[in-house]
Amino acid sequence: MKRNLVLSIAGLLFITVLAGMYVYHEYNRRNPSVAELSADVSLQATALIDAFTKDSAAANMAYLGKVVEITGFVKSVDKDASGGYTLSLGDPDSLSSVRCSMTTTDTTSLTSQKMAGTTVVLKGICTGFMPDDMGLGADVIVNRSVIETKSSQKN
Amino acid sequence: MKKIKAILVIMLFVTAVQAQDKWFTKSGKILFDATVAKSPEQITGVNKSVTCVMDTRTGNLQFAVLMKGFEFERALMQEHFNENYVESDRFPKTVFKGMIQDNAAVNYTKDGIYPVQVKGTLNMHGQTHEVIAAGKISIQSGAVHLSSVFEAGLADYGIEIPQLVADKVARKARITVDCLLAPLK
Repeated sequence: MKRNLVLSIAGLLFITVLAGMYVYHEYNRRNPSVAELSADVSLQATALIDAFTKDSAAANMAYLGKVVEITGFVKSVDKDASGGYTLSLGDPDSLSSVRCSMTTTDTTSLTSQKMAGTTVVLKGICTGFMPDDMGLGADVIVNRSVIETKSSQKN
Repeated sequence: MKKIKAILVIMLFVTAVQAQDKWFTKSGKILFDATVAKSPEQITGVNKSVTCVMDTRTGNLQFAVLMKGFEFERALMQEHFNENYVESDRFPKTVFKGMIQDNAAVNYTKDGIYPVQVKGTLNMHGQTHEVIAAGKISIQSGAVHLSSVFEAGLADYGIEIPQLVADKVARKARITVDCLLAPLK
């Protein structure tokens, strides 16, 4: 009888500790670095734009929240007021782009002089689609991006 | 023939002038802050992919932002923000459309910092309300920098805060806007 009581208390304590560890872990969980994640899908920037433009609901199902590896021509590199970089990938003759905001730690070589006009492979989280409501072109938004390779040099 | 050429030149000139009236960015920044004194930590998310278009001639101003683009330091907070509060699957985009009230007082060709007031409508979480916000337009070396801080009542937009954490989350979120605009060519 006494043994059963001890075992019950020990079991309860064990479960409480496990639950506490789980809560602590969940509470402190950070978004992992995309560099450490494997890509769910690899495709060309223009193909990603086409997918969202043709059927945004289907593209949301296929890509939203996924780690996408994108190959594309760097149309421009924007630096925001606080020093963050965004690369626009896609067809240089089109207003539409895949806009990849870069992880703040991955700013090496991210100057327009070095990156614009090259083709890159990068990885990031597909965050959504901004349709062309303002006459600026439609954009697929990719966050927490990191550059994998520069696949060709400037023309 | 000369008249046609002259008209064409004038049309080109007018188009060029009109084009310089419009400024934009697609990499603006918005900070969402719902921290209060009793919050156990900072409740702040940042979105670095804000689209903004401004017409310096009319003072028209428009912002659009994807809610899933807000990044929080803690993954759990980001998930709660998207799933339980702003329901970003149902309401993926927030849009502000407004006008700079005192646009005539801003000299877009002269460097300086111009305080302005913006009035417009904010559509968030499927609901639209009027917003009046104070802001600044900074002109420096041909660049236009917009900044503003205003508050948005979460309940006004149908964003419910569970009773359990009601005293740990601000009823009015503090929204900080920071956009560096380039001319729209």
